[in-house]
Amino acid sequence: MCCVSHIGLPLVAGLAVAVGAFGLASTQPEPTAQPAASACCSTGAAVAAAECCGGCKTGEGECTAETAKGPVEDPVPEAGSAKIGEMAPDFALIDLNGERHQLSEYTAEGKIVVLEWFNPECPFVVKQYERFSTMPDTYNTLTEEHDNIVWLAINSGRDGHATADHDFNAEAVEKWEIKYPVLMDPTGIVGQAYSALRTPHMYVIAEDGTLIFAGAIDNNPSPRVAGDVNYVLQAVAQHFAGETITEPEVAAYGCGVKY
Amino acid sequence: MAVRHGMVTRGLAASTLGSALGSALGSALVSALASGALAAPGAEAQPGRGRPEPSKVRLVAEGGSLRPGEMNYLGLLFEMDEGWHIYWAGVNDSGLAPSAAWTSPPGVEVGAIQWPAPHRYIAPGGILDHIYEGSALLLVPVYVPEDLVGQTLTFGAEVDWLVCKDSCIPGYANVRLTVRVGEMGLTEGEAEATEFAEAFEAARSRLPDPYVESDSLVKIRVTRGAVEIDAPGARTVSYYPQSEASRAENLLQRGQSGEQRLRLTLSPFDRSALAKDPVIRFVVEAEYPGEESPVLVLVERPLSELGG
Repeated sequence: MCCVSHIGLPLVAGLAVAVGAFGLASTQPEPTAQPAASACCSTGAAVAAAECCGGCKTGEGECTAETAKGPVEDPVPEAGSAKIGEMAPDFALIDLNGERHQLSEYTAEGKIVVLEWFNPECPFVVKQYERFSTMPDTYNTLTEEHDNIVWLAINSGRDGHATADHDFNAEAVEKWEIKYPVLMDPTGIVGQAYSALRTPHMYVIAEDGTLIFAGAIDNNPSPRVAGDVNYVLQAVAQHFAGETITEPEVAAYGCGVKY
Repeated sequence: MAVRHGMVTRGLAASTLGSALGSALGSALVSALASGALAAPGAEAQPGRGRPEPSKVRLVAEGGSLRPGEMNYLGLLFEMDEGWHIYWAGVNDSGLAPSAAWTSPPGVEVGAIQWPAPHRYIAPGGILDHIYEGSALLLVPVYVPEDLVGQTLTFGAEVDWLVCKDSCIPGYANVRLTVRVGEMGLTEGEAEATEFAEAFEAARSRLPDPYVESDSLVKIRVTRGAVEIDAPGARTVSYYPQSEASRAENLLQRGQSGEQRLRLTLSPFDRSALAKDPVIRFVVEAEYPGEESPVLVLVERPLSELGG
């Protein structure tokens, strides 16, 4: 057994402490050296080596050899477990290109993670990509201003639903020139963990793994009218400024997720 | 007269409801535009028709003419293909309620939409919405001053809506209705009924009455954090939250019961919605065995009236 089957709280807490110890990681990220993961994996001091594997990158620390031997088991987030101000439930999903993304690996690297529940067929999603380019604009603004932003779109449409079809989603990525990965969640386990009800439904997870925002991208629910408050930009800006997030949770609008 | 009195009472109550809702939902749920600014000349004397399939909307009148000096009702009549639904203006997990921006004739005021009580609809994944299926007529109160006797008036509305089945389609339509103002003293019964009279009746039968404790079979207790509903003898009791302040925990399981009572813990989370509309507002429906019509009541309690 290489790694723990569930990346449980001890690891998350360990990483949070590690990230905390390297508090500047968020403003001065070094993509090649992730303090949290490296510290954990190479020393194995505070946390057993086996528990580190999920957070290690190939070639790092003691876990490497073991990691290579078998597949990493995915965390199993609990339904409804995402709460504002608490650790965001860890998950791992495969994107349209077959690449695996695990939340805790990103936060361990000091990334702020934006989640966007996605369904290219939903008129409210179409609104934010076609009629207005709210999603790409928000992504561009965040990544231009900060170099530790990770944006993950997630489609929790059930397996076999037309809107969760691989090619249908891949076509949307191409058509809308989406620069971030689209993760498929065919069992809906991640969507249910985050209580994602709608598309789009947005979440922001801070570098320490805390969920700091959940809700709509903006303040106008009409498919034809753009909002004038972008809640994701607002939350991230307030987070970076060290301010209290004034609207950490707003009602999302859009289509229902096709669980 | 009794009927008309009832209508007027409802009109006033629901008008308050509608304006509060408008602010609750932020973007122009209903905006009664200044008189005639956008009125198109030479309007067609037939209901406007909107796309897209699988739903359409029309602006219709209850009677063949409007009654001067009275509150009249127009209707936004939505007709949907089988299996498709539109949304009630309340707390929903998905979707979007229809909205209308009005163009009204000079001197005529168009009031806020009155929403018939919805039905609960649960989609896979435990997504709970409050919806209308088949057809829905949203009542639109219109006060016609006496001095407009004999005139012909044109009403217009830009209507936005969302219709969903397994997927959703946004609708947009510019609807219009031209209707004559009848003579003074014409009673409701004498005004020539249109083919839509039945749809108006059906909509009215689903309009909640303002809750008056002493008059109601249903006992409702509201505090800042909880709503308790007791409906002795009822077959089912349902809670339809209409404002952010009335959002309740675990609505999927707790919002409807066959136990003659509901106990709800309020759990609003959207601070801006709460600030815009700090009122606990919900509809309760109680169905009784052997009774064709359910009891439908609307409860509105400003948070400021409730102790901390």
